[in-house]
Amino acid sequence: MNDSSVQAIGVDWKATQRRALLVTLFGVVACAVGALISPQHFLRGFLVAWNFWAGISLGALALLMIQYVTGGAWGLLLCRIFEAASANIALMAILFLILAIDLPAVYEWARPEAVASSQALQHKAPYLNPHAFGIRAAIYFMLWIAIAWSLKAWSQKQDRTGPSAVLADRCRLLSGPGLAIYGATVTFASIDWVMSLEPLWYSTIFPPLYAIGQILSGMAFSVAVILLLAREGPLSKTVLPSQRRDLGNLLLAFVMFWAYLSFSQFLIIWSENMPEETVWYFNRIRGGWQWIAIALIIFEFAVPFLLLLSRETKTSLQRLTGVALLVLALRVVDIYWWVEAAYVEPMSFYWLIDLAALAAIGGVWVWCFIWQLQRHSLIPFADPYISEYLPEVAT
Amino acid sequence: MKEASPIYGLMAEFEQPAQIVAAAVAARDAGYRLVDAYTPFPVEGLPEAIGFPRTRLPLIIFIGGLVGCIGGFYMQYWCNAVNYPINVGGRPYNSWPMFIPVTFEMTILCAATAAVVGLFALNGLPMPYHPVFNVPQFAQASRNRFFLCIQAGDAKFDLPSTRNFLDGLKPHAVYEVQP
Repeated sequence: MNDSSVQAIGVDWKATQRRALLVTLFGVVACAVGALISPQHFLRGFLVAWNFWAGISLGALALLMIQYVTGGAWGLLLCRIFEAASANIALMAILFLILAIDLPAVYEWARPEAVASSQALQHKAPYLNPHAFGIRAAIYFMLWIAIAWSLKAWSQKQDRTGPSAVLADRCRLLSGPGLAIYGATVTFASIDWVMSLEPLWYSTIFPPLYAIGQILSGMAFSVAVILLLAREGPLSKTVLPSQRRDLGNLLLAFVMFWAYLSFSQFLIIWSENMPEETVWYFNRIRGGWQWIAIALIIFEFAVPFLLLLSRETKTSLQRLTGVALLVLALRVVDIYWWVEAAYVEPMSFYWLIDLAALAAIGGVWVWCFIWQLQRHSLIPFADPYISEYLPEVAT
Repeated sequence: MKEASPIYGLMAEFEQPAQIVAAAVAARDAGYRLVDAYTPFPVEGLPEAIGFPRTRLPLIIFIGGLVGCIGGFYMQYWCNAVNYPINVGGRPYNSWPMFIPVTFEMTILCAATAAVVGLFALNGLPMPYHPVFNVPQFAQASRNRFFLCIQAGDAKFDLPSTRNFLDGLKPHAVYEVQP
């Protein structure tokens, strides 16, 4: 290990990993019980949890690429967390296969009898059918994993070889087109995985909303992790108040972007007032779902927005950590509202299965994340820009 | 306070932003309170170093925003639901989602206006005369030099010893500022 490498002091990674596995164990047992009670509710809960954890990974990948094309201290601070989180896309690709247990239980378009009785679904069948769904997912995952692993390998190679202009250029040259690839693939992924739950409904704002949801999850998660690590040890001297303000401002920007897109979709559908489009909101503002909608407005927008306006919140370690964790928790609720309300059932205690699936996937996800994170310096000390953005690390 | 000094204060000129932050910290540590700094661009850490007081500007901006938000919404509500209700495609008269964009714009407009007006009011602008401009070199404060001024009204101000103190900070030059 190089002298300049930054390691977290006072963090017991092994114990955290053990706890994560314990959470997975509980989650899997609870999911098994849930699956016995209602197999299709288990798969829906799995879809919610999978979209949340995959969202953090993919959001982290997008942020990693944004950081390479824009630069800045925030990017170097969060770079290693983004790399470790986006490496988990491979894990999410494997877990995705669980959906294959019973695709028709989740997606209406995968039920032959539903397609036979609906002309619209027959018309959409060339796109919305199980084979095409699987092939498209394979293409998305291959592209994402290739980008994530390349960026991670090139960045970490510099830890061993020292700063390399060639490798740094390569990261930047991949990130530009990589962002375009992310934008294109995540558009189709959002249609496949969430929008097609109501196969006759469509909204052109939904794909960007899905993408910004991922980026918001990735940002909130990474900010929470860096601040939790910065409570003591060498990182506490690196994550300065001025950088915490940057992190808080970025979080605020993504919260506002999420709110802007969420509201735009609602406003457009409200204005045009067409039955085939209003049904999406109609299903989500009754049967108990309206409380979730109100909670989203208050706790994913109003509260973080007002708190992050204040400079005190942004520079305070505890408060900023709290806001980031609040936003992250509300991302689960948002995805739950998107997915579960699509089945036109009133809210019920089946959300316990969603929670179990969240724990089951979350434990493994966190285990893999820590495994990736603790193998390398927490700050890419060999990055060519380190002396410019983080002079106190470069020394 | 001592008898009125014939000058406004002493001003030190620095070439680097880091120097003026260090000088401001040293001046505060030495006990000077009536200290002000003039720089061509915002310098990180300088407001804290000269002990810049908390202002009421954020509160003024927040109230401006609130007025714009409530006023903007009420304006549309009153027009569409009270004064001249028209049924548009069966939507309720109080079609609140349609009001949000204008409400948002009014919030930003009033908050921004409050920010500018509040900024002028709290800074006492417009201010046609200020003694610091009596130093000819001060014109460079808007280009590439950084100035730290200790005012004669400061309890600890004493012309020779304050001049000594400023000289000890290794400035480019020290000037007396005429009132």
